Amino acid sequence: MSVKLSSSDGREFEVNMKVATQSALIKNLLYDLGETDEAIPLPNVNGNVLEKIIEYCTHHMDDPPALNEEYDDLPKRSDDIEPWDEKFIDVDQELLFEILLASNYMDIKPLLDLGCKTVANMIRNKSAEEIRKMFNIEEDFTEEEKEQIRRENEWAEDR
Amino acid sequence: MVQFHTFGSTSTPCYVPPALERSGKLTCRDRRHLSNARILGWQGISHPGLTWRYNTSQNSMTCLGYSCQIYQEFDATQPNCCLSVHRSCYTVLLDHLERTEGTMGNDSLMQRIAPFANRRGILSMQRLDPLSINGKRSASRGMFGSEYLDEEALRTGDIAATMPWIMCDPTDLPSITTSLHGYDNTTYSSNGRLRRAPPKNLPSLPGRVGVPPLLLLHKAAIMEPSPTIPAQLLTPPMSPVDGCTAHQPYFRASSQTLAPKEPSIFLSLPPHVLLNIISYLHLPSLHALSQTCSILRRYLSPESKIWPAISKSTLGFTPAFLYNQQFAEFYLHVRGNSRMENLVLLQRKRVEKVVQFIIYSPRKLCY
Repeated sequence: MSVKLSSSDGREFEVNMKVATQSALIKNLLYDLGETDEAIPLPNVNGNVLEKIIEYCTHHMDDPPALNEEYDDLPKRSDDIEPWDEKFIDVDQELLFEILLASNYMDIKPLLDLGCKTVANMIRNKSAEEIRKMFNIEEDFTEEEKEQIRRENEWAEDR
Repeated sequence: MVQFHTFGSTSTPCYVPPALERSGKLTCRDRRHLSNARILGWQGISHPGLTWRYNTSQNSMTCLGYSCQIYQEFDATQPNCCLSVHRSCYTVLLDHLERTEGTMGNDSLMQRIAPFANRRGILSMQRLDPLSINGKRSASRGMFGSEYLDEEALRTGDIAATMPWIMCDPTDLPSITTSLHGYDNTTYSSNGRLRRAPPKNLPSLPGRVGVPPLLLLHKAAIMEPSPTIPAQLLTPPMSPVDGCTAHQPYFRASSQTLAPKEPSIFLSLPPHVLLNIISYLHLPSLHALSQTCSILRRYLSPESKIWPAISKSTLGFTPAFLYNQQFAEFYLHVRGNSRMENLVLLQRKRVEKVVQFIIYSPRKLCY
């Protein structure tokens, strides 16, 4: 059994039901609407991103359902990414954020977590200046705030 | 008549609605604007909370007052009361007091002043009074736009629309004579503290209380620049016409010279996604992240509300603390320390066991 998905740029993808229902959004839609031959429109996701998402969901089609976070025995870690996932998410930053936003929109939690872990790993061990450059963040501190930050850093260095 | 208000580092000129139409509610942008001193005027830097109006006839900017009613504790009818606001002003104030009072050993100025500031960083001028020494008094004064008062509006009685407002600004702390011309209702209490009767005949706007126009005040006292205050904070922004040719609309000029930068995608992520990312980080990364820009600095400040949520997201556990700062301290103490993390998880499991016991064994509890 398959489902058709339509991206924002009009591309249509026919995917296995098991693949599509990894998205809670689509799962709920199908539950509410019943089986349909019409393509499910995804206006917030473009074709390239949807293609990547389908690739991820296809690979993880047979994964066991994730445990409820509430009952995890370990705190969250970002260094436990599987090799295939690591290769999959090794994309340019723009596409990474698009995947992140699309997985949030389509409610695919494992993919969202993968994106968040990747971004967290990008931030790790970087200085404020490097983070700014990486994410195109504008430094908008006043001179006084800069001075305050300098003092904070001095304090940290003194220790 | 055009009114401008500029926001944050994007410097995009924005139309400011007339005071009467302004809402007391603050947008996120306003909050950022108000909590960040780097508020650019047309091309200059002004005090963050001030709204300026462009006076076409005189090609000048007039200070209308604070653009938003964020300074709830400011009561202009009590000139000794309130206000300061800004972190930058706060720093300036500290520097000033350090100069006037000198260093005080282990009792840092910060420790002395902190009890007098509320959570918004507003300092009470009244409370600060005892900090003045050697007969110097902390007095507030108006600094902005006095010479540009719209006299026609005054004549026609349309005062509320054009009246500049005296700002009891902490950047104004340097001593000024207390017997200002036309405002001599200053008295001293038995303990020598400065007291003033509320000013009379004040213009009124909904939600605001005005004080006498600056023109009534002694000009020298008004215009005298403070040596301790960065001039850039007190300088009115340049008028829109300055720097433009006669035929060039200033809107076009501004859009050319002050083109907004492309916003960071990272900062535009949905809050829960950003929180999810942050929950994977430990103290050093969080520290670096908090020093990237003012949004993240506030987001990761000890007073931020994210800490209980992050604690819940990361450790599955939110301790029963009263203040966000306690959550922050707890979280940053535990996160990344595997021994502490395991302890917290152990504690969480015990709590869960107790809860399950209570849920599934009601009879045992009854007897």
